[in-house]
Amino acid sequence: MKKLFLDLDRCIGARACVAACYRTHQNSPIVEMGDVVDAALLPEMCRQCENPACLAACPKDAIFRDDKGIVRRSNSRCIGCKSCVYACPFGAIADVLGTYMIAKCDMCADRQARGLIPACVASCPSGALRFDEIEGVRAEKKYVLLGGHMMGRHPYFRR
Amino acid sequence: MAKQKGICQMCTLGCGFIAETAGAELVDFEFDPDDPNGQGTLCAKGNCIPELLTHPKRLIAPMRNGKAIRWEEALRAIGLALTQIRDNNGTDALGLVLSGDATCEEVALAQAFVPACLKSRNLDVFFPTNDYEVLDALAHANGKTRRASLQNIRDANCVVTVGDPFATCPVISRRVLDARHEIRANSINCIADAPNMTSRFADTFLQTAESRGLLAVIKCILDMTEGNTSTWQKEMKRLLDKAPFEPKETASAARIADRFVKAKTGAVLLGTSNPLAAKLAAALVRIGGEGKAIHALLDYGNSPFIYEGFQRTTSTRQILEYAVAGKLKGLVVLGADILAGCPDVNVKEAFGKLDLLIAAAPFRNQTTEMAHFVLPSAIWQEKSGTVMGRYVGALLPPPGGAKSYSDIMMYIAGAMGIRLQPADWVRVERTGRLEDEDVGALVEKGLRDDFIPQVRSTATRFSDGSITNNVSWRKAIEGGIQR
Repeated sequence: MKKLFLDLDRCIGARACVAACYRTHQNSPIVEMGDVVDAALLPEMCRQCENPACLAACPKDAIFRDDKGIVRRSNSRCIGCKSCVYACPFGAIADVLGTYMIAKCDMCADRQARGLIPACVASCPSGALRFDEIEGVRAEKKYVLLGGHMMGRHPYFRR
Repeated sequence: MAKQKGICQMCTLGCGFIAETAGAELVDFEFDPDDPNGQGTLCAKGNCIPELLTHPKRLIAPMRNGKAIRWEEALRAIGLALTQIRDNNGTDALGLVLSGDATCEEVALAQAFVPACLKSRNLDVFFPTNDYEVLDALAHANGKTRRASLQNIRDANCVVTVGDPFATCPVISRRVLDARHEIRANSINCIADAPNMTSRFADTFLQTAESRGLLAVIKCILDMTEGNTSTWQKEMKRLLDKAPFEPKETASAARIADRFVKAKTGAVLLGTSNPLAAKLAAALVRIGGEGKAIHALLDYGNSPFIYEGFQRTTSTRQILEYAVAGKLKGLVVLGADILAGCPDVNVKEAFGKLDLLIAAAPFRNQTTEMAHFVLPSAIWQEKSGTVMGRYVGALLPPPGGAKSYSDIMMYIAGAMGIRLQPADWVRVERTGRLEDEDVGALVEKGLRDDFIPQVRSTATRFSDGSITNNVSWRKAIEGGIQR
């Protein structure tokens, strides 16, 4: 399964991923930019966890794993209880959409159906975001685990 | 449904995008992987282009003193009023200020419109930042002959950034970082007055005022290359020998100078609106030797007059001074939000003394609030013309009664009973040389560096759905208001 990778050595914090996500998801802020110990900016994106806490927390089965393995949210089932918002350990789910709605990353399922990569990755001006198969990226040995399955290149931490 | 390629005009880079339209509506907005400038990416500003088209502050009908009227009525009244002021007060009683998003054709038309219809010399293309001065300084210091292409930046062994180019044009960062990751000898050196987005990636960060830092680097280079120097360089060296640089500054500057001179190819990225720093950066490129080039990154995308020979007769500040002095009776403002863009001048007083203020703008802004007549105008996605040296077609028709600046000027000329002939487009080369510069003044001003940016464009704000490319004052930033 393809996942999102972040190269912290290249992220300039331009917030283009935030803007692209905002535009493609009907003006709901799914990607936010967070500060990490004053040194780096980290896009707070859904990590697509192996064992998602949001899925377990949802009382109405509104969060589900689709046939491609992407953790998504059902529009019709969501009651807006915000259980998933509090369950997510990365703060990657936003609760600002309005009544009976939360904003949850779906890896741009509609764009992927058209053969395009997710908007945040396509937009990234510095080439910090990458959308790739996890096995291939692991083989490169350039990335270290950085919370869930979001990965960063390790030379950053040596600086 | 039609697919068209467009060029983003939010900054000077000009990244491409693909727009799919159906009639007057934007159906789809997509990245353009074939575009040589953007390489399929867009920054936060570029991603907000669709939002501009459906902005709640969009003007669609002409207004007189806050009440909507028909175009015919508005034009008749405007034509009458302008003719009256012109006939009663003679020459130079009227003026026109054009926005920086005008196309080259529109600037050419304005150059014909102002003398013919307004019988005046008061014409300016207005930028809240110092884009005009920066590019003029570059051209004057022979920077034009040493302009770096985007490929040059990609291939450079040493990049020196002045100010914060990554914030102004984030898309440039891909080239700089590609060069760092692929060419091992590459180094990024940053000169800025405060830590910023670019300085986080710098191998050497010289934290001082921009022109002061550049002078420190120039001094180190001049010390290294003794002998066979021109008189201009000797004079510069003599003046700089006495300059009081701090040891910390000198150490960083020496490192930057060493890398820049030894690098086979080098690029200076100018991400500031400080004209003095632009001049000194051009000097640095000249002194740095062969294979060095400069690239200016500016906040405003289309600078129509710079390379096409716009003759600046009067600056906007001068026009406002004339208004305060009572010499100017009427002003036509096409697109420019002067009230928000000139914080250091009392624009309200100047506007209050005018008998007639006509403001054409795409969006409601502070200037249109004060105007007697408000005319809705098209934004850059809705008009065709030459921008950044390329001809760009209109993506969409303008909504409601909005018209392009050239249409508005033609209609006003028609209402005044004048047939307009577009002026001949004369290419004017600026032939100034660095050697003609006053070295003493350059060094003295550079060391003092009292430059304060007037307006700084900031990142996009989404949460309240307000205007996308908002602008905040230095004062507001200093006062602790969140950007």
